[in-house]
Amino acid sequence: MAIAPITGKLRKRLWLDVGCAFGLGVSAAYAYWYGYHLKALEHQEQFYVKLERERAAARQ
Amino acid sequence: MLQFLSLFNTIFNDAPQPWQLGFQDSAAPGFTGIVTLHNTIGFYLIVICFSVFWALFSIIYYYNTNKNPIAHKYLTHGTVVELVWTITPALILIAIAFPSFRLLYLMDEVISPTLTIKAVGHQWYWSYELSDGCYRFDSYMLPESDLELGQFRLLDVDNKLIVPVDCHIRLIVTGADVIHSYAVPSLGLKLDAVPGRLNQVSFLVERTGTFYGQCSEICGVWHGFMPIAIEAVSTPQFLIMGR
Ligand SMILES: [Cu+2]
Repeated sequence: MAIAPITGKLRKRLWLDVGCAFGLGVSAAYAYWYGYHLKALEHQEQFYVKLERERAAARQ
Repeated sequence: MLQFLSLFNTIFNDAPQPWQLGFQDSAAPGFTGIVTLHNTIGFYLIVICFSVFWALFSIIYYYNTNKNPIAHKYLTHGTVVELVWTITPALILIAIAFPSFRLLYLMDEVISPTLTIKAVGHQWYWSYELSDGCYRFDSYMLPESDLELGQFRLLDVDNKLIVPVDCHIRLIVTGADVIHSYAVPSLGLKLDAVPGRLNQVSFLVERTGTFYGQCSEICGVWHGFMPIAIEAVSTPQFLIMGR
């Protein structure tokens, strides 16, 4: 049985694969960065702002 | 129970809690830097995981024996693809190295400290020296029978180290017998206590509270029973207590 040669894999698949992998990867990573990391930092910052406000109120 | 399951609840205690995942809350700029570096590396990790798993499943799907009955036994290497998978990780490592070294050198800096504390590791307790050794005390773990409500088993001590908040503090660490390690996660401290050697770090506590840590270098049978407790108080309160 003759088997067709495997050609054109780079043209057919590679750019789609690389694009999908990095597209998904980078968007998931940014989702993590903005959705988790920066949110947690903001949360912490808000706590320190609250502390500072309480300290200022106590001084008066 | 539910809060143990929540990965995204970032307010934790200043001591480890059951089933805790991730870091304790930061109380010092140094530890905030460490968490940021960890999450920066996490960013790259997510990209790498997606790429590797996509490639893995793509190869399994498109190049299985049903679709490709020919075994390419003479296809042993490809220069281009080898260059790509060598140079790309190298670039990623360089990208990680820059923020890592930046943090490393920033944390090594000791900026005109207002207070110097010497911590000495013993088998099996910590002792502290303040004001050039004029004031010295030992800090032992509280036995379970002495615990009061709200105190932590294996973490609370009889004499806590008291420090003022918002002051640059220089910590000098050494060992008296064997190597110990002085570690307080929420302040970003981890420093080996080596006999005959003085190691130093600088830290700044941003809020009042009690911060717990443990000896982090295996030092004998009671290695797990020489915890560290640091209480941070406001500067006026610190001055009153110091009298
Ligand atoms: Cu020890």
